[in-house]
Amino acid sequence: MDYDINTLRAAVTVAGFACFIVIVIMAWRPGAQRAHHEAAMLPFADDDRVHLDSGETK
Amino acid sequence: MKTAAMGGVGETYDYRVVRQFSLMTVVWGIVGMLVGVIIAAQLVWPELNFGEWFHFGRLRPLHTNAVIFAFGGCALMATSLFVVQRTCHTRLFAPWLAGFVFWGWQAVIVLAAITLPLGYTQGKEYAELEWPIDILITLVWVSYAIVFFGTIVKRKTPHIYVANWFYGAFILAVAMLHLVNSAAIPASFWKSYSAYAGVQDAMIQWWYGHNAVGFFLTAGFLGMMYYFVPKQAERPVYSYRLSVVHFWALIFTYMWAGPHHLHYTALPDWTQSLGMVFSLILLAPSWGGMINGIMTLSGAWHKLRTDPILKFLITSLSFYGMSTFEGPMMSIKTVNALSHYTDWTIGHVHSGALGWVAMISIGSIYYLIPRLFGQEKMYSVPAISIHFWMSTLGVVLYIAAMWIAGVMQGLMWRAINDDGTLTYTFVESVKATYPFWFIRFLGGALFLAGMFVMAWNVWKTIAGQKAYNAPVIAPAAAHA
Repeated sequence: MDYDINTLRAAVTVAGFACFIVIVIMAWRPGAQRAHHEAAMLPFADDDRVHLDSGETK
Repeated sequence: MKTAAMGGVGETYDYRVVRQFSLMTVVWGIVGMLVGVIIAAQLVWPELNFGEWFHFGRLRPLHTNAVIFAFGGCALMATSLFVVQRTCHTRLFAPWLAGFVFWGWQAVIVLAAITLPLGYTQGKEYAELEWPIDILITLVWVSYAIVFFGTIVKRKTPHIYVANWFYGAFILAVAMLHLVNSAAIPASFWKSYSAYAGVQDAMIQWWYGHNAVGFFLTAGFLGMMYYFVPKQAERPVYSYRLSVVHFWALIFTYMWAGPHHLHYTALPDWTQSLGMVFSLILLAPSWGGMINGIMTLSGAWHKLRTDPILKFLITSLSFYGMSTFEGPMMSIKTVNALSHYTDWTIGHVHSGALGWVAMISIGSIYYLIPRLFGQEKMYSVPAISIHFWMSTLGVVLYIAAMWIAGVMQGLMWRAINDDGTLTYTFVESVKATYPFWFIRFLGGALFLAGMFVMAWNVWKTIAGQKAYNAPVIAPAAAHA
């Protein structure tokens, strides 16, 4: 078999796909649930309604 | 003048640049859509083509640049610089550089508004601006990346919230697209020639063009979705792990879809088929993301009845779902044989641009404005509702007219008599399209009118009010 630039291109494509499969498995593994929940709650860590007594107006 | 910092740590978020970009989103939205309505009118009434500067051919790229990069760009920069601070629990990195990003971006927009009507163009769709402006764009974009990623680096949270992943991908991919596609040899200050030739030039242009759709007009706005939909619905995103897979699937797939813009051209056949297949695969991540956004409302559907901001956000996702179903379908070569070069394409683009991009931006800006000016809510909530219905009706009129016009044009162009001659001349298809161009003009005008309602509402909300910067949340350890 001859190796040329296309062999490298095919290898990168296959590696990319394998990488994606690993990402899917990592995302669905049970251990990831807690970290996902923590991350999902980040926008709610603080109340972003206006509180004029604690902010800064100019 | 600082007047209050009581009770908190005293440190506040950098809202200044967010305020600037938010207000300019409304201004450039009106300008860009006004130019759109003008060129729509020029198609119906060709007498409106006054001289070379205000000719359709010069104003059309001005419209696309203004709505994509001025309106869409300001909305993306406003929301990304807000979200990254709020979800990283820290102030902006290098706020002075953020100031340059704002003024530099406005300079790019003004230069585009001057040079495009004068006829200075590289002739590449959505990358028309000549090389000196391209260099300014590069400087602004690198500064934007430094501010955004610098803020991520100095974050106080263990996780990087998913919205920031989408914004980050948008910033990195657009930098790469701009640098590669804008490579050109200058012949004079306002004239240059592409560094590529022939079909390679066309492929690079549409690799750029479709990824501008994928990363500028999709990934960035999905960042908006992942922050503002949960916040307005007051519940976390439906599935965070789906959002992780959504992100990577979209990133891995979009880069390949460009060739579908060059079906039945000199591009090799296998490249066209590859582009078609990857466009079909794109349906999966697109719909995965849409479902994730809409299902965030699961259990709180009643909020849609009373909250017009949520109406904007969720309707935008419906249009996103529609146009990301239509897109893969149009990329199928046999369908493309009918749809290509017709108004169907224009309809498809506007179902995405008005229905998805504009409506999610409008919803997000309505969320931001009161919070940036020390108000609890917009001056008039019913006016948001009126704006919503004007926008929705406008989009529906627009895309329905373009669908009918497009399919009719495609069918007329391919109709052949028994003896092999064409049934219709081209000009007959133009004549048959007039009524639909008029309906499109009405739809666009209605959408633009809605933007004026928004401008009035924003003005009433902020007039006489002081700018407000919210306090930075104390690190979790401080509460322990």
